[in-house]
Formats: sequence, structure tokens, C-alpha cells
Amino acid sequence: MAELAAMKPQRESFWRSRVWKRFRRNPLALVGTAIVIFYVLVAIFAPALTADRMGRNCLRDLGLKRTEAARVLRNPLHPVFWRATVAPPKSCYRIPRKGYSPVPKPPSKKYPLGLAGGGYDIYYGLVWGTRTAFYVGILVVGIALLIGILIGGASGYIGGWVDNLLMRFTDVIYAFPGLVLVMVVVTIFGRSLTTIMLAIAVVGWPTYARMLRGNILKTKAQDYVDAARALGAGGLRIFFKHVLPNSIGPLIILASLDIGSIVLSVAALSFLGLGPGIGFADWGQMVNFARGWIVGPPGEPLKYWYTWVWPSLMIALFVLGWNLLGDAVRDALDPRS
Amino acid sequence: MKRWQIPLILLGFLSLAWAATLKDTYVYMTHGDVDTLDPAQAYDTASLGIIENVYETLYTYKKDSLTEYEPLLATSYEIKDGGKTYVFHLRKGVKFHSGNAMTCKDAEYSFERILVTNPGDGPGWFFAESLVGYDSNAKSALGENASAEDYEKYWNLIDHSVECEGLYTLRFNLVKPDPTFFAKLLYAGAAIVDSKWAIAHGEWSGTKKDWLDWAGKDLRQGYLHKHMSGTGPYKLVKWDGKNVVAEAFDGYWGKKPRIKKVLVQIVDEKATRIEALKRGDADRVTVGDWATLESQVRGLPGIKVWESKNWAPASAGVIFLNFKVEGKDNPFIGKNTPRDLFSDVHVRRAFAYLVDQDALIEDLFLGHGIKLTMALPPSFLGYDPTIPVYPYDPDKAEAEFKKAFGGKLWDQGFEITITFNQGNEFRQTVAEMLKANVEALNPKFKVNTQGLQWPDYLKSARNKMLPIWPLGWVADYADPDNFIHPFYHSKGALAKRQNLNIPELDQLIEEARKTVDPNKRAEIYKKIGRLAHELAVNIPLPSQNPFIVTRDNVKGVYYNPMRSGTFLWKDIYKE
Amino acid sequence: MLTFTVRRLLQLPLVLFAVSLIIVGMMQFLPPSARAAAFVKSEQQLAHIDEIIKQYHLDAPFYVQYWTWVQNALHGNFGFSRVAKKPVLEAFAEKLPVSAELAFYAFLPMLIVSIWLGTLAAIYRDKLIDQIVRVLAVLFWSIPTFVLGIALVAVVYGYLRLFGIGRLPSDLIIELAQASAVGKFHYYTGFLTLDGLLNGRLDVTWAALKHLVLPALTLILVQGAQLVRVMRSSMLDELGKDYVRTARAKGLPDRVVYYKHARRNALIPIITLAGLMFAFMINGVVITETIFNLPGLGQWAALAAVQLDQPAILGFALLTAVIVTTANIVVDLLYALVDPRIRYE
Repeated sequence: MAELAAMKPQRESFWRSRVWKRFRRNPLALVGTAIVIFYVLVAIFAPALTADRMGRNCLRDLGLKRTEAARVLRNPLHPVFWRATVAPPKSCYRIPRKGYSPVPKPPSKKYPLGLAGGGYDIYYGLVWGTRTAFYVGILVVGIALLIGILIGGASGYIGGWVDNLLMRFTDVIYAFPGLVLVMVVVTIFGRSLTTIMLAIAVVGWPTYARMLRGNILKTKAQDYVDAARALGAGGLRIFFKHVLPNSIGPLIILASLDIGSIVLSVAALSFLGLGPGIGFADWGQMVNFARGWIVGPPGEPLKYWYTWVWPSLMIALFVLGWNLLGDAVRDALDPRS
Repeated sequence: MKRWQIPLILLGFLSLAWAATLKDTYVYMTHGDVDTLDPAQAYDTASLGIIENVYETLYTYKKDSLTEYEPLLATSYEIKDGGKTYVFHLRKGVKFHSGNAMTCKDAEYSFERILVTNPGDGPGWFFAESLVGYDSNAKSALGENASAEDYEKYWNLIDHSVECEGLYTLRFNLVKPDPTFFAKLLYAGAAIVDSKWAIAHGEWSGTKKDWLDWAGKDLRQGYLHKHMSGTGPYKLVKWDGKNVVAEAFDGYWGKKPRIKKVLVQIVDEKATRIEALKRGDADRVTVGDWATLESQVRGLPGIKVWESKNWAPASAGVIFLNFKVEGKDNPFIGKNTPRDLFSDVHVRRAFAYLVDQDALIEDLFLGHGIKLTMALPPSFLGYDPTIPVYPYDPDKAEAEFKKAFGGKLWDQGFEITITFNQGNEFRQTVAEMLKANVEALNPKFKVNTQGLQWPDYLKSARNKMLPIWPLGWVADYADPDNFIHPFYHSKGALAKRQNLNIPELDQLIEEARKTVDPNKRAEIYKKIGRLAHELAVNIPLPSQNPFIVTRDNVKGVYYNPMRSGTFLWKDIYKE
Repeated sequence: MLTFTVRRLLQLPLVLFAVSLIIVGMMQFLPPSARAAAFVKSEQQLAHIDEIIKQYHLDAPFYVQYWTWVQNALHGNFGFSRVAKKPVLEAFAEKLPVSAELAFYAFLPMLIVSIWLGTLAAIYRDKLIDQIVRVLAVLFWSIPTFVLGIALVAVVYGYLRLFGIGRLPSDLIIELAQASAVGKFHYYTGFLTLDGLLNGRLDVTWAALKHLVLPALTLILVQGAQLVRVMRSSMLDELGKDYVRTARAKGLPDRVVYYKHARRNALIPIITLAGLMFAFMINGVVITETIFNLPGLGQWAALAAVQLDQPAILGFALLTAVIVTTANIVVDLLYALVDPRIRYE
């Protein structure tokens, strides 16, 4: 016994841990990370990237003249740079319009990704839309995960009547038709981004709760849990050290998929006329601008390709990045791979 | 591949060949929603588009003319008592789709039914205001707990307003002379319904016995909602959700139509409609805007675009300016902005100078539009094209702003929100353009734009909370009063919401309502238009030139702005 | 097992009660003039909004409105849907078969293909087939549904001139309308593929199938992509387990280990997701329905939500509650069947 106590292993630092090593060695993990970092950078430097094409209102709210905008917003020493980056006024999320023509215009020098129907600058919309995507995606999934883990975890761990009660409550929320409920809530309480996010989160957590609970039930029945219990480990310790880490894998996959899908849900809402106002920098909005332009004139069916290809690509890459990342994290956490 | 599968596969390919529609069939794909097929309840384009082909009115427009009429179910008429009495002589030998013969009894029943039921969301109000003097049904006008006597009086008014003299003479007794009444009778819902058939199927009995039960009833729960028995060249086969199927009526009294079968399909997605047109699965589709037309439809093989510079829709839109914005905690107007901002004519004129009509027509309508001089469709009586339109002139606008509120407004600034119906791109563009132009003048002018969902819009409009908003109105009947009163009279349906109250305008409008001579009326309306322009009571917006898109084998198409479907099915044919 | 099922079923009424209460409660946040949205469709009608509010009792207090609704509902009267222009139950009877038919023809192929592809990707991990499957899955999952839908309409229907939109081609619509008006064709189930057979009209069945191809394909591609990924990850989990290594070490052929043992266990999370997806598809998929012009539950529910058509929203929410609760019960039962280690008290 004394030897065992003396051989108690040190807590190894994260950077030397096996988890990190496994992660590092997986090429797709690096690709995924690279993609996500790319988007993070685009989001952070949105003002700098779009300094030369900002809308009048955004400039006005930042107190900048158009001529000095490019200089100021690319200069990290200037206070307005930080204001724009950390807490930009809401008007900066309005995509500037060049004219009002409903016909899209192809990419040009000034508008490298083209103009969508209505004169909206696609480049601007996609760059600032990255901020919206992160904001919405992380917040919604975060909230939903939190609620889901709490409820699903408690349900699976405690069992008994608590499980029953919580699961019935989950059933009620589950039983709501998701999209319809979100639409009703948004119609009633207003179309702000906050309302949309809360509505989607409230509708989304039951999936996590149920999945977690199911996995916990499965894991609880595993042999090594019985073994740990036989060795004298307490209930809570078993839960946090053995049951939870083994149940959470699929949850992380789902969550990473969901960060992408939230963007799609908001796009669906825009399709139905309930997204954040038309002209708001959001990828879903941008795809919806393309709605009437997917097919071009006779002979040039793909004439307006830029209206839907760029936004779709932006979304697809975002989803891919998170997926690869999520996969890689799961692989790295898996003690037996 | 087994041998017995071959014929099936062949059958599959054969059925593909039947994709294009046959010569005696007409398929029309449009968007929207058929609300109801009951003429006393229907008030939307899609529903009336069906009703106008299945039911018939006393008189009707001659093809595409708004001023020439032809007798339909009536063969002649007289106006007596200075415009208080209308006598129609009905056509003999007309049969309903059920086989019953049409007589004056059916006409009396149909009109009395409109007056009795008159649901709040239906068209009955403009008949009721001429025939009984109220515009709502008995229960709404008198209240749910009125005395039996009051209800009796209302019934007597209804009973007396429409009477039969013999089998083929119909008499209308108006409460006062109404020069718009004839035009009202051309509305598709002023149709003659088969009374025997309706009563037999549980509709109102036509008598005093159960009239009060039917007052204000939602007719969508009745028999006439989904079933039709009229005198028209087509009879309804079936209405199921998105499809309306009709077929030619063998016993029609008039010339038999060449199109024998009609399918009207509601297809909400524009891209899908266009593909169906290309494939020949539809003979006509609604395209909606010139941008799509020019960039995706024009030049397609097998497609014909019908258009003309002379075509103008029977609608008019303006930007409304609220003379006195109401509502506590109103989010659409700044806390320090005076609620009566638009009561100053200089502010109104300034805004008018900042609407770039040319840009709107160029950008949104690709040049296919006309500027309106007043809130009236150009083809209507009383429209004056010589009234000037405020041009886009930022300098003049600035000068007007500087004169406003004794010069104080320019220094104080203001903050308002332009609202529009969410989803309406035209109105959104108008709002954003106006915002850009106003804000460019003076940094203290803050203009926001906001799209409102329909429930929000209803709530805010009703409470007169909106400071400035673009909106339009589609004609109910081809008479200028249908526009002038709602837009310019202090009690008008639309003007009410902007707290408009200009006694001179009210007087002129009421005078026009009493004048029977059309030329004199026209003069009064022109005066109204000119006065409205000087006072910049609202800002008229340009109208888009309409167009029709069909397969090129469809012939006989014309454009009548008062027809919900722009033309009648009986007038077209396919080669 | 039986007591478990019965107990869960008995909880259904409570769920329905909670759902309906929450919805009616939410609607109360709006003043009557806003709730009139479903009744007022145009400016002309707005002029008479006060009468409309009185006529339809939109200003009655919350409990009165709810109690009236409950009473009616218990008698089978779920009110009148303004959006569908018919009583709520009738609207269901008309639209549920449309959505269910599409769900049925999309679900099974999707399930089969996804499980197969997911398993394949897991077994040949990191090889070419795995990479292809993963990229395709992400691609189809992240394409906005309507872009895919419109692309299919334009390319397959428009350009290649195959298949059709809506439920049936126009000539059949007209013909069946005429036939059913005189009793020569009966819509026994509302499932056109079935009704065609029951009426002896194989051409109707064939046409309905052809018109289902494109919308079903859209659903299969978009929903299937998600299922593929979850299947793959679940299968990977299983393949990493000790018993798999042991079985292979013992000499059992790979095919047996993978397909007979591992996949069976990997199906557990799939069951949850698949059950959900099926319920979701039956509920109606509004974007697909709009693009392919199918008058299903999705379109109706979406319009009802935006126009605050209260009876329709309530009716639809209740129907969903029933479907989802039933699906959950079935899923839980399947869990127990597939994994003998899971037991219910």
C-alpha cells in the first residue's frame, strides 16, 4: 500500500498530456482548427476588413469621416479601432447598398464578391455576417448545452422520480413543433436577434438532455463502473470521473454540428420572412437574397452564381471547420483510440 | 431488367410526353391564397379571380375598357329620382349551374344577403353605405344588445333597399343619391347567386325569420364558401387548398368559351412557377416584377410577354405623413421630437423633395413605371396628369426644412422611424432611400427604417402611432371616390391614421359625392388633387407598369385593371 | 414493459395540457388588434378592425378564451383555421397525408443509405471513401435547403424535363377533380400512391411517385447528411471498444464483427435521432413543401405562426405533441430491445 501511495502520478500539464498529443497528430484536427481560426480572425477584424466600404450610418455612429475610415480602422493604436472591433454600433451590421436595383451585379474591383439583388455588398455582408454567426451559434448552443447537460445529467445520474419528472418536462418542450414555436415567439416578441436566439435555444436543449441521459444510462451499466464502485469510489466521483466523460462524446459531436445548423435555422427563418431585418449582415439573409436569382436568363443559367455560391460556401466551410474540430476533440478525448 | 418491366418504363416515358397542357385547358399558376369563394365575403385578388369567371354581375366592363360597359345579367337600366333609384331590367332565359332559372328573386336575395351578412372583413360595407346608410352589419352598427325595434328598423332598411317588380325588374332604393353606385355594381362580388340552391343548402332563408343570426357571420363556415352556383360561363368543379378546377358550363346563356377546362394553382415559389412555365406545365404564371422578367423570362422560347405603355394598375400608393403622432412610449418617434412634426407644411414639402421618383422607376421598375400626381390611378375619372410632381431637389428640401417651425427645426433636429410591411421590397427601398436622402442633409436628422410584421403593423396603425409610412390601396370599384375618400377625407379609412383634417378637402370630397354629372365631378377631383399637392398632404409614389406572361400559344389576352385576373377565361383561347 | 408504456401514454394528456396552456398564454402578450392579424389581410379590412375584434371575441380575457377552446376541443371541435379556410381537423385530414407520404418515401431510403454510408466511413476510417463521405455529408448538410431545392427544380425538372412539381400533373388534377365530384374516384387515405391503387388507377400512383422523387431527394440529401455523420461517429465509438478487438483477435471474420455486432450497438444513438427526424418530417418541412408546391402541414403551420392563427397553431402543436411523444415511447422501447443492458423499472 505504501508503494502505491508513493507512486501517485503528478497532474500532467495540458501541453504534455496525451489528449493534446493525440489532437496534434491528427491532420484533420489541424485543418478544422485552421478553418475556425480563419473565421475568428475575419470576425475580429471585420471593421478593418471593411473599412473602405462602410455604410454612412456606421461611420456616423463611430464618428468617422469616410476619407479617414480606412486609415483609422486599420490602425490598432487608434481608440476608434478598438471601439469598432469590440463594441461596434448596431448600424454597422446593416449591409450598405449601392443603388437599389433588384438585379444583382457581378464581382468588380470595388465589389469583389458582387452585389446581391437590392444592391447589397456581398463582401461586407459575409464579413460582418461572420460575427453574427459566432454570436448566434455559440450563444445558442452554449445556452442549450448548459440547460441540456444540467437536466440530462441530473436525470441520468439521480434516476428515480427526479428522472421521471425531468424527462416529462423535457417531453413537453420536445413536443413543441420547433420551428413553429420559434416563429410564434418571434412574431409575438419581436424580430430582434436576441429573441430569435433565445427562442432557438429554448427549443433546442431537449435533444442534448435526452442524448446525455441515454448515454449515461448506457455507461452506468458498463463493467468498469461496477468495478470502480467495488473499489470504493463514491457516487459523485464515479459520475464525474467515469460516467460523464464517456457519455459526453456524442454530445460534443452534436453540439459542433449544431453551431453550423443554427446559422441554417436563422436562414430558414429569413426564408419565411422572420429573420433579423432584411439587410442585416447575416449569412442566411445573404443566401435569401439569392432566392429569386438561382436560375439566370436562357442560355446563361448560372449568370448570378455569385449571389448564392459565396454565402453557401461561407456557411459550408464554417460547418466543416466546426465538424472537423468536434471530431478531433472527440477522438482526442477518447481514452481507447 | 425483366421483360414485364419494359412496358411500365415505356409508360413512364410516355407520360412524360403529356407534360404540356392540352388546347382546351388553361393552367394559371399564381401566388397568394384563395380566401373564399363566397361573393359576399371575398375581398382578395385570388378569390375574386375565380368569382369573376363563375358568377356574373348586372353589367360589366367591355373587355379592357374602364369606361365602356356592356349588359350582362341586366339588359338595360334607368336612373331615377336624381340618382336615388336604379331600375334594372334582367335578362330572360338565364340558367344557373344547378339548372335553376334566374329571376329577380335571385338578384334580390343576393344583394340582401350582402347587406344582411356584411362581415367586418368583407366588401359589404360599400354597398351598405349606399343602400342602408350604415357601413357595417346590424350587430356591429347597433351593438349586440340593441332593442328589437332598432333591429327591426335595420331590417326594414335592407328590405326596402332592394325590391323586385315582377320576375325581371330589379329596383334599388338608395338612401341618398350616390354617383358611385353604378361602378359599385360592377364589383365581382355584386353577383347574382342561385337563391333556391343556396337556401336549400342551409344558407340564409332570405326572410326576416333568421336574418339576425346571419348578421356579421363569418361566411367561411357556410356552404357558399366552397360551392358555387352562378350564371357564368364556367362552373366550379372543386376547390381543394391550392387548386381550383373549373369547367365550361354547357347551359351558359352567352357565347360558349373555347377554353373548356381551367386549373388555377397557387404556387408560392417564384422560381418554381417560372420553371413550370418553361416546361409548358402552366399557360400563364405570375412573375411580379420587371427585374425578374427582364433577366430570367424575356427571350425564353415559347413564352410571350404582353405589355403596353398605356397599361396602368387600378391602385395607388403614397407615403403617409402623420400630422399628430399618438401613443405613449412610441418607439417610432424620438422623445424630443415634436409629435406634430408633419403638421408643418414645410416639413412635408421637404420630405416630398427628397423622394427620388426617377431613381425608383429606373432602379426598381427598370424604367417601366409612371409617376402619380395624386392618390388616384391614372385611368380613373378625375385624375389630373398636369398636376406637378415634387422633383428630387435636396436644395429646395433644405430651404423648406430651414423654414420649418420658425427655423428651429433645422437646429433641433428630429428622430423618426419609417415603417413598412415586412417583406414588401418596394416599400422597404422607398424607406431606405428616403432615409439616406434626409440624413444626408443634416446630421441632426435621424431617420430609422423598420419592417413591421403584420400584427405589429395592425396594432400601430390602428393606434395612429406611425409617423411616416408608405402604403398602397387597390381599387374596389372603378370610381375615384374609392380612393379620394380614404386618402384625403378626415374620416377616410387611411387618412384617419395620419390624423388628417383639412376642412377644405373634406368639403370638396363631400360635394363630389353628391354631384351626379361626371364632368363636374372630374373637375372637383382635379381641384382636390391640386390642393393636396400644394399642401403636400402625402407623397404619391410611382406605379409599376403591369405586364402579363403566358405561353406563346395563348391568344386573346388583354389587360383590364379592374379584373382580378386581368382578363376573363372566356375571352382567351389556345392555338 | 407494458406498464411502462401505459404509464407513458397516460402522461400524454398532461403534456397536451401544458403545451396548449403555454401557447395560449404567449398569445396573450399581444393586444387584440395584433391578434387580429389572421383576420385582417388588407388595408381595406383594417378600416373595420374594431368590428372584427368584436366579432371574433379577440378582446375576451385569457381564461375565457382558453376555457372556450378546451370545451370545444373536448367535443372534437378544434376551431376554424383562418389560414387554411377550413376547420382545423379538416385541415389536418387534408394536409397530414401529404406530409406523411413524403416523410414515408424519404425516410426509409434515407435511413438505409445513411446507415450504410456511415458504417462504411467508420470501417475504412481516414481512407478515401471516408474522406469523400465526410465532405459530401458536410456539403449537403450545410447547403441551405432551398438552394438545393431550387437547383433540383431548375436542373432536373426544368432542364432535364424529368419528374414534376406539386403532387400531380395538371391534367390529372383536373381529371381527378372532375372524377371525385361525381364519385368516380375516392380519396380513401389521402396518400395518393395508395389511393391510386385502391381506385384501380395505377397511372395516379405512378404520377404521384414521380412527383415525390424530387422533394424526397431533397430531404434525403439534407437530412441524410446529418444521420451519416452521427452514424459514423457512433460506429467509431463501437469499433474502439474492447469486445471488438477481442472478437477480431479470436479470429472472427471482420464482416461478422462489424456488421453483426458493432453496428447493432452503434444503432442506439441513431434510433433517437432517426425517431426525431421521422417525427420532424411528418410535421412537415416547410421549405421543401414551398419549393415543390406540396400542400402539407409545414406550409400551413408556418403561415399560421406568422399570422397568429391561434386555432391552427394550437391544433398543430397538439398534433406534434402526440406524434413526438409517441415517437419517444417507441424509441425508448427500441432502446430496450436493442440493448439488453437497459432496463426500465
